[in-house]
Amino acid sequence: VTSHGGVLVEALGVRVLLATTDEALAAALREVWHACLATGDALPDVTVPVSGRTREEALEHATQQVTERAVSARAGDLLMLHAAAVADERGHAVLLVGPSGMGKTTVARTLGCRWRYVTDEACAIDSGGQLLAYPKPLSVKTGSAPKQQRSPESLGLTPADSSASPVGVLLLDRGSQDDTLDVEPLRTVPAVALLAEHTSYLTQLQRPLHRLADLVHAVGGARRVRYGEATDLEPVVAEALEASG
Amino acid sequence: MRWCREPVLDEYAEDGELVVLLPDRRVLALSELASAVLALLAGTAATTDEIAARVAASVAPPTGGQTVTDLESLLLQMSELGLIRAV
Repeated sequence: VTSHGGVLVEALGVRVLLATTDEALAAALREVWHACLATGDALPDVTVPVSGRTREEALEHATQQVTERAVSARAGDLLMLHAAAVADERGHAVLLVGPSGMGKTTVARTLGCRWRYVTDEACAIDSGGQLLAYPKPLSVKTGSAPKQQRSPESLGLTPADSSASPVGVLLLDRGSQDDTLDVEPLRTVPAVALLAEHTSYLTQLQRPLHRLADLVHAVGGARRVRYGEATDLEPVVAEALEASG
Repeated sequence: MRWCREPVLDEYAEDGELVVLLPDRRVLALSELASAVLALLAGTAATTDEIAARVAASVAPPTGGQTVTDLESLLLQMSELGLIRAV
């Protein structure tokens, strides 16, 4: 427990205090949030009381609250996409965009074994087009609620430690396990409309559709990917990263 | 009947296509014909006949199954979507 009375993490540039006086819970928070622990003595921007009937429930609640509060705090500033992302060692990143239930965490967990784990659900892009690293705990399904919160390191992932340049945007369309991989390039206008469905606080940005179009242009065009298994995406991500030079 | 545009929060055009963000947060990608209608109604109102004449000159029919003869139906649809209104 810090001098602030909890565990201080940094999410999307927002210092969030996970407030608890329970030493054991604080230790668990520190472990799962290891890649996002804040440094320095600056005061928190936001305080989230951590509570739950069980430790797992408290950890899951904390993960949800940190993301929600950080995204809310940066509304009108960052372009927020519901997306997972991985990056290579050069800091080139591929965003994998999709709604809840599309399997973004599984995708991030699978692809993060080969590349660096940027985030599994919240991609935030600044006005300069840089993707902020947010290597939050991954919420892993265990068959019953709540989901287990796991640090990226505990799953064998290497967390990204700095911002990255997007070089690929893939709109995920998960089919059945038997589906073969199908990659469809999208024109800019349909891509902007589809990406807009997976944003938060879009209307609070200045010229939000232009921000989305800028992203699409920066990566050389978005693509819709129908896939069966997360491993199917590996060659598509590899191609995007290799094509970025 | 004369038509004019409803305000939008943002719009982006490329290659003759337009996507708009409406005040109720809906985002719509428009057909080439609908995009052309909105473009020509920018800052001005026009009758259905005026729109038909100007759109016919700027959009090669047929586009995506739509022809200029479908214009009246398209205008009503655009009105229902909150893109334009009768004045």
